[in-house]
Amino acid sequence: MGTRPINFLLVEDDDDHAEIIVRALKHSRVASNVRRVADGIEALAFLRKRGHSSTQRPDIILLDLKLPGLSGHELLEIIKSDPDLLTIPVVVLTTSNTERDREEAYVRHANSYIVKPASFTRFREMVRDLSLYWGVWSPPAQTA
Amino acid sequence: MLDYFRLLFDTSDFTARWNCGKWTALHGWTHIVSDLAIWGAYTAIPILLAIVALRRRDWGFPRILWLFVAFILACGTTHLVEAIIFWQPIYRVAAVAKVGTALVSWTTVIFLIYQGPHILRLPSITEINLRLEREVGLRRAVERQLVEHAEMLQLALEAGGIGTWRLDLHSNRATRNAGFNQIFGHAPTPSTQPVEEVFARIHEEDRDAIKDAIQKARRGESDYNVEYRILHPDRTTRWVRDRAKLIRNANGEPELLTGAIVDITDIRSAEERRALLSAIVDSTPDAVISQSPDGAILSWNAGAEQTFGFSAAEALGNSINLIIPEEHVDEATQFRAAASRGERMAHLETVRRCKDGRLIDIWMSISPIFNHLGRVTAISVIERDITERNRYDARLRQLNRILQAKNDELEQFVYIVSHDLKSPLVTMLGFVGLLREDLGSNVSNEVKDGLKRIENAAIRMSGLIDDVLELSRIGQVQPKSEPVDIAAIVEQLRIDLAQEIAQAGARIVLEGRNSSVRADTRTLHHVLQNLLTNALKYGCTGDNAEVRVGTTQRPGETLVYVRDNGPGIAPEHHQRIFRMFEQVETGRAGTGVGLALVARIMRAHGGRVWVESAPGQGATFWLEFPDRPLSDESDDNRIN
Repeated sequence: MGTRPINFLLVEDDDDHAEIIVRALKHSRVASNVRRVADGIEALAFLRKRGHSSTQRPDIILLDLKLPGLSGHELLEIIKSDPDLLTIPVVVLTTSNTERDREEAYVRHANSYIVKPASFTRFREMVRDLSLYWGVWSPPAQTA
Repeated sequence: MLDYFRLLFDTSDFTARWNCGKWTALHGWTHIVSDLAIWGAYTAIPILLAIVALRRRDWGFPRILWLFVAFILACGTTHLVEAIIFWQPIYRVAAVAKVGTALVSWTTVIFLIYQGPHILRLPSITEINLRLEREVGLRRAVERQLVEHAEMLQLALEAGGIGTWRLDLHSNRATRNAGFNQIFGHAPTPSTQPVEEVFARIHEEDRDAIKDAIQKARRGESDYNVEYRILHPDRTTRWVRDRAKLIRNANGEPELLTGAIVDITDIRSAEERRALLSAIVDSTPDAVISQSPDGAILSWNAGAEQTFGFSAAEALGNSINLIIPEEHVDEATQFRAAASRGERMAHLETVRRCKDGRLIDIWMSISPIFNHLGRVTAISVIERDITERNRYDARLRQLNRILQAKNDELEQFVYIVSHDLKSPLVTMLGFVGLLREDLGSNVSNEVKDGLKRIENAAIRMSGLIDDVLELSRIGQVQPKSEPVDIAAIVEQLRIDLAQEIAQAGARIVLEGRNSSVRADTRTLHHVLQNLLTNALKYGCTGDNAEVRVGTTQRPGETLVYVRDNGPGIAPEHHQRIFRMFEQVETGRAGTGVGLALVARIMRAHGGRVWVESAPGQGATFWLEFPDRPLSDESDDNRIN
């Protein structure tokens, strides 16, 4: 029955997209803590920080594929081959709808692959479904 | 002297012998009778001898017989005269008779002396008989030999299929033996007839040459030796070779031609065939070379001369290594060894060296040549210069690589552009939605309208980008062919297009029993999405708007339809709408790419799309998927 907020690590280089996701989470009334990083290096640094309390450890990683420097796929690979990190569900969230990107993601053991919807409403629904599915959050008694 | 003969028969000077002396009757008559008998015998004998002489004219010495006849007759006469003298003393006659007899007798003696040795040489009867026997024996032996030879000749003629003939140059009649007639296709019996009848069977084009040859032979200018065609009664043509000798008579005049003829049709057709094969070998630009098992060049055609630059004279007898670069000698030796074992190899590619030192690429095939005992006596090699072709190939491959690289570039470009374009759209649409929610319902209609327009524009752009992406993908990827469940797609689309469906106030109905079609899932999804979106946008104007999706099966193909009950499309627009950026109504929103994309996708599947519609009667879009599988590749592949 955890009602504690979900810790999201959002790896997204586009500020606008990041803003939409954050707002979508807010509008969907999902209790969340979103830590946003703009590239893979920062993400890894955050993930490997020593002295992380379990409350700060991300419950879900939202990963964009198009990142500067270390690409989303490469980061995914690193995360999923690190015994400390691989248990964290990684949801690839990208504009790309190509087979190839999808395959590459699943081959590297992405837990899910979602194409960024072109509609705020859908964004909202998506993050809610996502949280329900992967997160440790359950909706409050009254419907949101 | 003359008086003597005048008084020949005068007896006045002499006395009859009866009166001269004391003749007793007995004594006297003994003389007379004996003399008469002797005269008789001496007359008879000559007569008999004469008969013999006349009868046996083959007696080699007739003159002796006639001399004997003469002297015996003469002698007989003297005795007759002696008998007569007893009464008539014709002594003068007696003297003449006796002189005559003496003369003839001595002539005979002389004759005998001269002819004697000749007579002595006459063989005796026994000897003659012996000789005759021996001769007969010899003759018989010769006869036997002749018969044997005749039989052998006959056998030889038959075995050799040789016919013989004789042309009498005076009567112009030709005699032919059985073999000859057989060669001409007639019954094998000898015959004789005017030579014109023989000519009737000879091919008309060859007749003149033969007549000419006969004339030349007759005049002794040349031997008769011709080859010509004859016609069999069954209308087949045979070739024959004909040779003859001229026989002259005792005066040296041409009397007859005697000849032998043989059917050479088989030889000729073998010869023609050989000539044809030889011509083929000579006319081909490929090098055709035969070599012995240890590599000595046995034959070298014109193509080899042209390809390698060595003339036949230069090549024959030399080792094949003449044209093999050092680094390929071992390989060539191995090929030769394999061929010597009876192996045939084709489609080998290797390198050869020309006379001028140039190296050329060749394609070759190598085969053993067996003799009648099954041993490999020679090896045939056919080599073709493919340097040019290889150059083209290399160039083609290079061009292909360039093309592929350009393709990759383009794909990359489209991909990047599309995704880079999509990103701001996500932002735009995301914030429009956010704005709506933030602003709530407490805003003016203008604001609401403004937001709506922005949203619509962004959605249109998003759709366009998706279509462009899909369009570029279609060209790149080989469409898969797998069973696709249309019902599942329709279900998914119901969800994806929920907003559009709600906005159009329409229902989507799935019809038909069989809902599986062989296609590429992704693209079919795209196609149906496109058609449904179109239908929802243009075909659902009134109440009770319905879009029906279904399949029908036809032999060899599956048809999918999307049918709406909207305003329909006028026939003149049916072709236009499938072209890119063509829109029927400018008032309605549409990306303009969708149906063109649908058409392209269907083409890539080997199928097609068309519309059935009339104003006021709704529109049915048909998709035709042929049943044959396009490919069984399970993955996307680059175009090679």
